[in-house]
Amino acid sequence: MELCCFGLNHKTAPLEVRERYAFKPDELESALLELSSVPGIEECMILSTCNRTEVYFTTQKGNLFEEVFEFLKNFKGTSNGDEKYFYRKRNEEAVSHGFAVASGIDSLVVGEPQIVGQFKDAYTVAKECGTVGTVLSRFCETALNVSKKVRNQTGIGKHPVSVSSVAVELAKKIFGDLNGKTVTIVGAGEMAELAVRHLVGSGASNVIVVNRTLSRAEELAKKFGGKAYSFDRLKEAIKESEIVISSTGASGYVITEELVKEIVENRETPIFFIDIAVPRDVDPSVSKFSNAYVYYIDDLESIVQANLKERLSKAEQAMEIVEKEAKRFTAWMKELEIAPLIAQLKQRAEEIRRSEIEKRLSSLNLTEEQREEVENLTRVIINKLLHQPITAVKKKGIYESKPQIVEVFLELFGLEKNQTGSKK
Amino acid sequence: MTAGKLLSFLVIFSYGVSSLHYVLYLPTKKEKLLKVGEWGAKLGLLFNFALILLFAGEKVVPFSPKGVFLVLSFAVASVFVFYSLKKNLDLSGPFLMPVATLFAILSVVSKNCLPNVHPSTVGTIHIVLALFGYGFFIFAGVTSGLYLLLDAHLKKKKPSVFFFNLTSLPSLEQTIYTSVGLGFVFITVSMFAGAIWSQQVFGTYWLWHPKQVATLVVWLFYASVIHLYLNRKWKGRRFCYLNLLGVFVIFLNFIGVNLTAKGDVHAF
Repeated sequence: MELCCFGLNHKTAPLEVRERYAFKPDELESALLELSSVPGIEECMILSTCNRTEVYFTTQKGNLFEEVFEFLKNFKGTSNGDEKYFYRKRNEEAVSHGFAVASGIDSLVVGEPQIVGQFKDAYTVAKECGTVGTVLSRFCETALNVSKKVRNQTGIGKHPVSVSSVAVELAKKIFGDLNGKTVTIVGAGEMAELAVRHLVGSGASNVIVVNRTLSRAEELAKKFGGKAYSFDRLKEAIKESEIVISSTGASGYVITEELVKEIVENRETPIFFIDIAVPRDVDPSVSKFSNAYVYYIDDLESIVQANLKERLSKAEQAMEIVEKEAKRFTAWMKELEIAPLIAQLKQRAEEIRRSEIEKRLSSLNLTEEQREEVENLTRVIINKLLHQPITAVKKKGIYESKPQIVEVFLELFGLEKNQTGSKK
Repeated sequence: MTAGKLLSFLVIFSYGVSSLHYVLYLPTKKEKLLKVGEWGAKLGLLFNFALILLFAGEKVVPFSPKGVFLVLSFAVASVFVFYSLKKNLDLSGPFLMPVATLFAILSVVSKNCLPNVHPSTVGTIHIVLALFGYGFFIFAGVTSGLYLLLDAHLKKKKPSVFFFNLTSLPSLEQTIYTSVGLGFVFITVSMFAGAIWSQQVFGTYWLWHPKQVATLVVWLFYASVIHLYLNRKWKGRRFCYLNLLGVFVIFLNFIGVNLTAKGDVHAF
């Protein structure tokens, strides 16, 4: 049996191709049912996010990728020529790819956490449709565990990679807890608003909005349940707050050294200026006050870049975990294939033993004890005879990946492979 | 004595491996190194404790210079392990574990002769508590260094390993304060025990011995550090500078006075 992955992602296909093959949530169910009726496919699931569409399936047949592409083409009404964007992975390669996807290593933003939920959803839908069985269920559950392990052991998602969450992380480093802290937002702008939203979400409780037009300030203040100040009360606002986010369209410095000198020198607690305006709002000389921390948009961006770089190096460590787990999983898959064969062999031997004993024992007139002894004796002989071939087929077939040995095993003992098919 | 030699080797080896891995973590940032560092420190602690028990029977621990260094390396390493587990302060490892290793090495090269005093329970309390107090002060000093590094890197916007891995300035400050507080309690009790011991041995509580004076200076120093902190006068950076200075004062008291006090109970 093989576990295969057929799919495309942001690395192999441009957006216009990816969107052709994206599945809406309400399409998934019918797609899965149709896919599972493709001859040869035993279990299947579809993972579709904005950056990837992947079909995971198991089959006894060798090469089903063309059939799967045919299905995608028919379902999505696309034409030939898109095959070149798809990757085709089998067995260990497919498994380790799936684990890497679930861990966020394969994501556009490495280590982003949304993929875990998306993977879980894909699995749930397939489970509800009954298109996943022993192998894919175990595959998904292992993938989710691997993802958890990767996150815990490498800390791949620990540092934020968006400007506004970096601002929050910095605020936390400076103030510890954001509870009860006051944020002033000078000017208005989507990015500033987003940063405030993040800060409030992390505990900052008071918001002051300062704007040249008071009505706009009031509008924004209402969103956060804060206060609105007119522009001439800027100094007052800064005095009351720990964090100041500035994003005005002014051409010169709005927050100057003279403006904050008195405030900053007379306070014991630090003050954190986040300036996301271009041209800059905060005079760089403000940062010479020892308790003022000044960050411009470029500083935040470069921390984002550093965090991304950090995540990439963690991804290397994460791949080691993923590859180890993928090896274990493929071993389990092979074991799953061989285990019924072994059971079959043992059962056959037991049947022979039983029928021979029944044929001969009645004519021997043995006592109960002697009978018991004969039973044990025959059992021991069978176990000892079978021990070597069973260990060998497990060792060579599972751990050394030599499928020929399984064929020989079947041939020698006259076993049938078709009894081993998993669920359908 | 062979068991002692073997254990000494194991202590130095474990602490050394731990130090090396912690130091290597700084440039490489490989999480695995931290794990090795942590287990090296824990294993070393175990051997160190076994060694202390082994020598305690002969009163070498804690009364001889050898014993003093053994207890000191144990104190530094155990305070580190306690805080690194509780507060996730692995980053103090690259600084503290080499110190613990150094003390472990010093214990091997130091004499195990007993000074001319009567070993007693109150004497044991005096010595062990003083050394643990030093352990806490050294930890506070190193953590203060981390605070200053994090602060400087935050201000300079330098995304360093400290910038990434230290949680926040206030939480570091809190940790420094608790460890200074604990160290102060230990050293206070130790001084009283020392006075009682002095009364037992020399018949007087106070001798104006350089060591006693130096220890009193340490005590007064940390009393004022804590006082200034609680009065919210010297917080943050200045609090940290004081703690770094504290480590220097301790060094002077411990090494300086002990080396000059020849032929004395505090001599090496």
